[in-house]
Amino acid sequence: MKPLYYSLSVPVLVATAHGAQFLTVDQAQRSFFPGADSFVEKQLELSAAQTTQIETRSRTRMRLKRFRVWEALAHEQRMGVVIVDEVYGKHEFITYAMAIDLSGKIAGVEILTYRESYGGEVRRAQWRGQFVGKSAGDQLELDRDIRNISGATLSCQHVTEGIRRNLALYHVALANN
Amino acid sequence: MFYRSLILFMALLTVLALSAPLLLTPARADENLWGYLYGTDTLPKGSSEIYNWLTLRTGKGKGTYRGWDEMLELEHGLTDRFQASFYLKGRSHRIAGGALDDDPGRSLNRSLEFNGVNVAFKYNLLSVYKDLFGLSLYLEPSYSRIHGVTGERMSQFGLETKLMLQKNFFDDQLALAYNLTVEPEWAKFKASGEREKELELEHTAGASYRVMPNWFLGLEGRYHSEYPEFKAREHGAYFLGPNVHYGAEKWWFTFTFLPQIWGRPHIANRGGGNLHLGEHERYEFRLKIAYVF
Repeated sequence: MKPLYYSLSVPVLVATAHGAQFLTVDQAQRSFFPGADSFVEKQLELSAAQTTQIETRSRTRMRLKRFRVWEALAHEQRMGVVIVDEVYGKHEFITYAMAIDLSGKIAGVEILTYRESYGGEVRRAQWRGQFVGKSAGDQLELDRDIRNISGATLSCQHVTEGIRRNLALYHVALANN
Repeated sequence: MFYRSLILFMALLTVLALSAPLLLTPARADENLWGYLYGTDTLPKGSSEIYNWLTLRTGKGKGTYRGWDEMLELEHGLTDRFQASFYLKGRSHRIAGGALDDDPGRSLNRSLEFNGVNVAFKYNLLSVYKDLFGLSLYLEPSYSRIHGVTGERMSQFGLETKLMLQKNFFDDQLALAYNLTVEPEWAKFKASGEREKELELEHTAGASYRVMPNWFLGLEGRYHSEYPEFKAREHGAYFLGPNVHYGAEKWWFTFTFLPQIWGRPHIANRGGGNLHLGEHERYEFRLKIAYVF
C-alpha cells in the first residue's frame, strides 16, 4: 500500500518564481527626483543612542543598524534623500525605497521587490500615494491616516511601519547632515 | 452542566460564524504554519489554494497498525474575511497481530478508499496584524464512511466548531496560536447496525518562528478527549511535537511529527505506560502541501 501513489490529489508541487523586481534603485531615485544630476551613496551606521531614539519616535523595532541612503544633488545642491529599506513579508523581505525632501516630507514611495503570494496591492500607486507629503508629525498608522488594503494587511502594516521608522531615522540621523 | 455549556458554546460559534459579516478587519492568507493547529488568517477574496493532507497514525504497542488519512482540500476566499473549503477524504488501514485492544482478532489490509466529504467555513473577526490579537471562528460539517481506528464501514456525521486565537510578536516573526475545538459526531455502523454518538473536545496550541526567509520552525501540542453518548469522558491524550513549514509565493508545505506523550486510560500489556493506545496511536505524522492560485 503506497498511499502517495494512490493519492486523491492532483500534483501540487509547482514551484514558480513569480517574485519580481519591479524597479531598480537607480530607477526609483530618478522617479523621485527627476531634476537631480547625481545620487551620492552614504553608508549610515547608527549608534545605540540613535537607535533608541528612532524606536521611541517611530514606535517600531529597529532590526538593522546600517542603512543605504543616497543624497539627491542638482548642481551640487541637496534636493533630498532616498532611503532603501526592507521589511518582513510573510515569507521574504519586501524591498522598498522612499524619498524625503528638504522639508522633511515624503516625496515618494516605490516597491522595488515583492515575492509574496498575496498582498502585492501595496504596489498600487494610489496606496503608495497616501504617504506623499506626510512628515514625522503625522501619525502614519494603518486605518487612521493610512488606508489599509483588504487582503494585504500584513504588507500594508509592515511597509507603513518601515516608512514611519525611516522618517524618524531622517530626523535623528540625516536632517542636519 | 458541562455539556450544556459546550452546546451553548457551539451554538454561539455557529451563530457568530454565520452572522458576523460586518465586523472589523480583513486578514491575509490561510497558510498553515502548523499541521494540526490553525492560525486566524483567511484567504483574500477571490484567491484559492488546493492542499493535499497526508496523515500517518501508527503504533498500538502490539501487532501492526498503520492508519493513513488523506484529504484533498480546495479553499477559496469569498470575502477578505470569510473563506469556504471543500474536502475529499480518503483512508487506508493496515491492522494485524492483535493491534486493536477492543477487537484483537481484527485484521485489515485495505488500500486507499474514498472516505467522505467535509465543507468548512472560517470567519476572521480580528486581524492578528492590526488588532491586539487575531480571532477567527470555524465551522466544519463532515461526512465519513470509514472508522478512523478500526476501519469499519459506517456513516458518520460530525459538526466541528472551532475558536481560534493568534498573537504575533517581533514583526510577525513569531506566531503563537490556540484553538478550542468541540465536535459532536453521530455514527451508524454498517455491519452491526449499531449507532453511537460522541463529543470530541480538543485544545491545541503552538508556536512558530521564522528562522530565515521562507522557513519556519515550530512546536505544537494537542489535547484530545472523547465523551461517548455525550456523557463521561472515555479517554484523553496529550500530543506534543515539532513542525517545519516552508512557504514560497506559489506553494507551501508543512510537516509535523506529533507523538503521544500522555494518555488515559492505559491499556495493559501494551507498553507505553503513560499512553492511551486504544483510540489513539503512539505516533502521528502529517504532511500538507498546498498550491496557491
